[in-house]
Amino acid sequence: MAIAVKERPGREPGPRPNKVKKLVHHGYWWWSLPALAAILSIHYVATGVGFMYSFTDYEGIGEFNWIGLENYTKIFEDEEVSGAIYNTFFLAILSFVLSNVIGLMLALALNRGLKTRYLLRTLLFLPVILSTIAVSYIFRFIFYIEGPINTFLASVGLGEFQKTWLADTTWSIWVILLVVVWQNIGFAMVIYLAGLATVPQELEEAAAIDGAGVWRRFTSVTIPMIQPAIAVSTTLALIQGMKIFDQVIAMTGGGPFGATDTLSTIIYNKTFVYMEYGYGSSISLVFTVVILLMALLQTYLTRDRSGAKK
Amino acid sequence: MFRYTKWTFLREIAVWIYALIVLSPLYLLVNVALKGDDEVFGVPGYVPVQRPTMDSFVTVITGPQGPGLLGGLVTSAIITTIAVSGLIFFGSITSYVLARRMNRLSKGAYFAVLTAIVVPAQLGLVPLYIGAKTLGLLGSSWGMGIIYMGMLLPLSILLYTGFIRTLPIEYEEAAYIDGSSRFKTFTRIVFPLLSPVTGTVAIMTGIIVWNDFFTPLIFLAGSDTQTLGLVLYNFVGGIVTSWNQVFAILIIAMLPMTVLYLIFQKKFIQGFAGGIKS
Amino acid sequence: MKKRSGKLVAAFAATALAASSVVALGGVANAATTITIWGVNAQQGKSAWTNVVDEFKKKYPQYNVEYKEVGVTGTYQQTLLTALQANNAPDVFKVAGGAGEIDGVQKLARAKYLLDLGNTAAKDFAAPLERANFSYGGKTYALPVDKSVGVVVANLSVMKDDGLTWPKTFAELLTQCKTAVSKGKTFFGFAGGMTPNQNLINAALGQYTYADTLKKAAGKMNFTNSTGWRKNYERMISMNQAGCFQKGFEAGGFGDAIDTRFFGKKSYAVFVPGGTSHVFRNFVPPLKGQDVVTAYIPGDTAADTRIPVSSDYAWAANAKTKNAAAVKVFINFAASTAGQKAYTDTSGSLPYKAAATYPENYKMMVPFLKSNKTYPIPYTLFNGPAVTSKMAAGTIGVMTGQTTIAKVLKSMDSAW
Repeated sequence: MAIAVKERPGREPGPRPNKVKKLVHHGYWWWSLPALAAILSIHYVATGVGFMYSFTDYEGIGEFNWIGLENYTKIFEDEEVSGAIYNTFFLAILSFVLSNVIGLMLALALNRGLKTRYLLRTLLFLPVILSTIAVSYIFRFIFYIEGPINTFLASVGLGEFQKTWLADTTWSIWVILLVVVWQNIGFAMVIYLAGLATVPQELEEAAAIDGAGVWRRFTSVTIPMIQPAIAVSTTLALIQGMKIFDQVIAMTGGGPFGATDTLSTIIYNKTFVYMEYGYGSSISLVFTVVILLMALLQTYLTRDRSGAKK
Repeated sequence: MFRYTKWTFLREIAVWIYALIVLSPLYLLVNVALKGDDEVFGVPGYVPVQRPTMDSFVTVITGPQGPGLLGGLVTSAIITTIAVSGLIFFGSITSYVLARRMNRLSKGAYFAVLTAIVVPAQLGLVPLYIGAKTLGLLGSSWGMGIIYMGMLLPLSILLYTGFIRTLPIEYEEAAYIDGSSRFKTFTRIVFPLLSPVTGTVAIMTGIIVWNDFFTPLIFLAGSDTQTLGLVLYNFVGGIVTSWNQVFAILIIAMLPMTVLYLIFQKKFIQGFAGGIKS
Repeated sequence: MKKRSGKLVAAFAATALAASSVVALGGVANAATTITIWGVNAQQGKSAWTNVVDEFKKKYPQYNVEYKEVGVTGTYQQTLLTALQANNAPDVFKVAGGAGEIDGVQKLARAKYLLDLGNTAAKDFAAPLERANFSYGGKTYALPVDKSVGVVVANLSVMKDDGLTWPKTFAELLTQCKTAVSKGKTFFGFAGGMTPNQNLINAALGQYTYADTLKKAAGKMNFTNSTGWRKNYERMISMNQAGCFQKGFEAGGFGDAIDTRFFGKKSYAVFVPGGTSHVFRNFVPPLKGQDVVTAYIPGDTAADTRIPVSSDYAWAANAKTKNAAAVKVFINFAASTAGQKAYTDTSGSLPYKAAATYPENYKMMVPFLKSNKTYPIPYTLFNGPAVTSKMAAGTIGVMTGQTTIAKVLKSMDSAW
């Protein structure tokens, strides 16, 4: 891209408006070329080539052979992959629900009247801007076998609830979930706060005068008004949740025995640690399809039913 | 209109309790980092530090990992600067052309840009890796900056285009009538009008790039160029038993972004919320 | 409009290509007597690879050596592959024997990245039975740096305090595991969350698997119906049930297993390359004066017991080297007694060619070495890293009950 910038601006092509001659010229069309070329090559061409690799046995070095659908039949036999798909959905759906529900509750709590609302908003948003990898290491300490959680449980006489959290086949994924939600709540909260700010107070008051209870006002006035915020926050939370990687790598490495592996960690391991480029690409394709389907489904579910323009 | 009642007070207290619980990991972070070796072992992390000391910070900065840690800070800063400047420049100029020229081609291009936001990067990673290798972009800050530009341009264009569409055209017309060149019209008239969304782009992409771990893990593997995230990943595994030192490293790593956030917190939050609304 | 944008794209591509070739040219300018070498970092103390290079520099000051330690093993392997493909790999570098690892000799030789070492001392250096690990298609491509004996290191002093001596049979080991627990310790510190440690426990138990692995490599058996491999995992399960490993070993890192437990004298033994006993007893302050030795996991009977001996690491050279003459000098040095000594002095492992005397830390291994009761590490016979990864992951899976032995063996078969 940096190279493309140096291109001499071509001979004066000028815009050729298809229909009406415009009064103002808004830049030259070729101004958009470097960016479009970069997007085309990084997002589309690369993905297309990756699609192609998924039908090969490419190992990162030497030649590769076309092996048809062999990688795909392998996926369905590979318990690592099916386990990772399960974990990915587990983390995506639960983190999506929890961070949105708690985020919305916080936004409602902060929305009106609190004296320290700006301070609270600043503090509660803080986790969002922290490095995920650093945050994961803090939680790794907290849930370490001799860490604060276990020592605390012992000190209050709940020693029997001590666990080897991150080594536990059941609990480790819940710890991952906790870290993800911990970092995402603030984000959802801020989006909902922005959404709530668009709800005119008069509207709520009018509803109150009409005798609508708190819940009724919430469902029939607030929710429809913040529909766009809901759509945005849930979409982002879902896509983020599908891509969980840093937390797993930093806290459990995917273990024990894949109990916390996600599609992202599996793809990384297969592709960049074990150099199974071909097989890794085929799992990536499955991952891509799953994300696109989720995004479509999600858009459909949170579509603006009121018919109003966003 | 709104009355501060007893219930509001209780609500305020409840949110504060929640906030303290949520932020307790950060208390642990600071508390343990300030402990000397004698207080780390055998004493629970939540017990307040008795004899606060900066020893851990001194050890990690002057120790063998010191140069790497500071190098990581510099590298992350350079990469973020390159990526964000590129995303602002190419993002704004591209969006300007796409938003103002409402023909079929630009609409198609815009749609392609939007779709790219949803498609995950994973499938393209190997080809991108091989392509970056061919172009000599692996293992350098410039290379990383360029890769990030390509990856995040769709987001930048989405934000800019949404904003430009709401901008009145009159200023440009006036400039045009005054005989201003197209590029000057853009840099002198349009770009300053974009400053609110430029702030949003800078904050959102800046945070994404600064905190990203996955992309450098792949594109900087084994090179001497190491971002902060990679430095953390490589160090922490090695000294996992000296938690006070680990936490000192984490604090050093988290400090720049946290300070920026606390100074510009309103801009950060509005940046996120505003970026989302468009 | 269409035509013009086509031209621009072509111009863009041409500029990009030109830029990339300029980058590629940057790495060429090497003086004739300069030789570039890559080794790996040591986890503790000085790297043995570095020591060989240092000794080489002393003996051959006329060569200008550019040496680099490239990360720990995992990072190293990936960096090397990238460099080989990008055509900027060094003249001489560390590789692994066989095909079971990412930088395996056979894998790299098949892709034509390695220089034929047929005219150097590497030819016929390896023992006939092991020669295949360092060659491909009948040509020699690598020189083993040492002989690594054992994959367990024990602190006999701590055991003695608890009234124990090293177990002679597997049943005795299990009993001692329970004793250790009753003393508030565990027999092993196990970094079960780390793939390299999962590999090592399989190597330690390999006396019942290597024969079947040889059959598998010859296409005469599958893992699924190998009694040896089944026994391998059954033994792990019984070790786990006897409390041989620390709590939370499933996610254990090297810090937990080695620093906290072994150095903290809370465990008798750890899974590390056998030579590490030399490093531990000499360079780790808490273990000064302790009887730290290379050990083994016993067989069902004392007579059954065999110890793992492998030569996993090797030097190889770049097929595209511009300094074949200098490479030959270096390889010949590395094969010489002085070169092998330079490596083993630092690593604590033994020279590839049989040693006359054995250091104190090998005292438990000597009887086995002398009576040839040894076996090669089974996974060095695998045909690719994917099989090794299934074997390693299965280690934890069977112990936690997340998977069954049959399933692990099946996954190893399908990865082969």
